[in-house]
Amino acid sequence: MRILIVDDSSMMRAMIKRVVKLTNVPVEEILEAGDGAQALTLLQSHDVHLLLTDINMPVMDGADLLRAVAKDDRWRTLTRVIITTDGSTARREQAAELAVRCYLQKPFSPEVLRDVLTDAAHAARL
Amino acid sequence: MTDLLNAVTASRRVIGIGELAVSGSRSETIATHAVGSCITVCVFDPVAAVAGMLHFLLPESTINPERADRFPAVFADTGIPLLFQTAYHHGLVKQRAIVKLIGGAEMPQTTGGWFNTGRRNLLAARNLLWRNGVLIAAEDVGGTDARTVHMSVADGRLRVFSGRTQKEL
Amino acid sequence: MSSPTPPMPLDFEPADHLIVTAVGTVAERSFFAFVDPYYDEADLDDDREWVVATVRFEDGPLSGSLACTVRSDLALLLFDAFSGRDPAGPLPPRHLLDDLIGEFSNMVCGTWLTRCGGCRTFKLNSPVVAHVTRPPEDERHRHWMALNHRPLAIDWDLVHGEAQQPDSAPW
Repeated sequence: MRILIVDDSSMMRAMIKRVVKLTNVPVEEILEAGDGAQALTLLQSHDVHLLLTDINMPVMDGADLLRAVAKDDRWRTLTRVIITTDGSTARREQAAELAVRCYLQKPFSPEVLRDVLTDAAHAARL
Repeated sequence: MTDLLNAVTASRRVIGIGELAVSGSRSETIATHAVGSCITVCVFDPVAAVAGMLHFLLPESTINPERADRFPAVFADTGIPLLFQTAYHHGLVKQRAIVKLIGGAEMPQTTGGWFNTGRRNLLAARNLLWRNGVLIAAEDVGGTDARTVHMSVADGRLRVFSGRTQKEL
Repeated sequence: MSSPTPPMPLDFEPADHLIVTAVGTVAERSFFAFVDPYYDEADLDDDREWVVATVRFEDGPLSGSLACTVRSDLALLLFDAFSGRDPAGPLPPRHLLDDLIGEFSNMVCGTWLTRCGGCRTFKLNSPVVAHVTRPPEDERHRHWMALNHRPLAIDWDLVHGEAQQPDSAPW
C-alpha cells in the first residue's frame, strides 16, 4: 500500500509517519506533501491507495484537493481521510459529500490514529 | 484429580505498589491490588509467552531521585524502562509486545483535595510508551474506584475487578 | 434584493473559559502534558528565550487571532512529547521546533474555535512564529497557565461576524 500524507506542518507529517510505521499495516511507500498542489502532482505520478490530508494549508487547501480528487475518475477508489483541527458540523457534513472515509479531528492520540489507519488500510485493500 | 493438580500447579504472584514482576511460566498469574491513582502497565509477548506487570505510584522520579535509585518501580519514568528491560531478558520482543494500562483513577486525598495524580500518571505512562515506540493496545483507566488486576502468563489475558464489576481486557 | 441575515444567536460557553479547556485537550491528547490553571508570574523573570506562535483567522464568520507564548524549556518538552525524541539526544533544529510550536498553536486555536463557534466553520492562516527575550505586552485577552509546571500564555481576540448563509458551503 502506498500512502500520501498532506499537511503543511512537517512535524505533523513526521508524527503520522511514525504511527504508520508502528501500526501493523503493510506499507510499500510513504509520500509527503506540504500543500494540495504538491499532493496532486504526486497523485498524478504515483499509484496511491490512501490519502491523509489536512484542510488548512497554503497554496491549495485540503478542500480544493479533495474536490479535484472527487472529480477525477482515476482516483475513484482512493481511500481519503481528513486530519484537521476544524471539527465544526458544517465541515463534517461537507466531508461526507466528498466520499471521505474518516474525519479525524486534531488533537488525537497515536492510538486513535492507529485505529483510523488500520480501518483505512483495510478499505484501501478491498 | 485433575482439578487438584491444576490448583497445585497454578500459582499466583502478587506485586504491590512500586513493584514489578515478569514471568515466562505459563501456569502463573501475576496480580496486583489497590490500583487507585496508580497505573498498572501490563506487557505480553504472545510468541515468547512472556508477561510482565508494573504497578507504579508517581509520574516523575525527579521529585525523589534517591527513592528512584532504590525503588525504580515507584515511578513511571524509571519503572517502565525497567519493566521492558526485565521482560527483554525473558525473551520479550518489543515489536510483538501487547501493552495495556489499568488505573489512573482520581482519588480524593486525605486532606480533601484532588491532585489529579491519576491523570498525571496516565499521561506519564503514555508519554514514555510513545517515546519508546510502543502503542497501547487497550486501557481501563479513570473513574474514581480502585482496581485489582489479574494477568494470565499463558495468554496475556487480563481480568480487572472494580467494586462489584469485572471485565476482561 | 434580499435582506441581510441577522447574526446567528450564539449558544456557547464564554470564549475565555473555552481557551483553558482547549489547551487542556490539546496538551493531554497530543502532548501528554497536564494543565494547571495558574502560574506564578514571579517566576517569569529569567534569561531564557520565549517562543510565540500566532494564528490568525480572518476568512469566515469568526475572525481574530490566538497566540501561544511558551518558554524555551516548555517548547522543547512539547517537541519531545509530540515527536518521541529522546531528551538525551541532539537538540532539534530551530525550524522544526518552530514548526511544532506553530502546530501546537494551530491545534489550540482550532479546538477553541470549534467549541466557540458551534456549527460555524473557520479558516486558519499558517502560524507565524517568533523568538523573544520575554513575553510580549499584549492588548488582547491573556491567560497564564502552567503546562507540566512550566509557564504558557494564551493571548486571543475573537469577533463574531454575520451568520453564514444556509446554502453557502465552505467547500
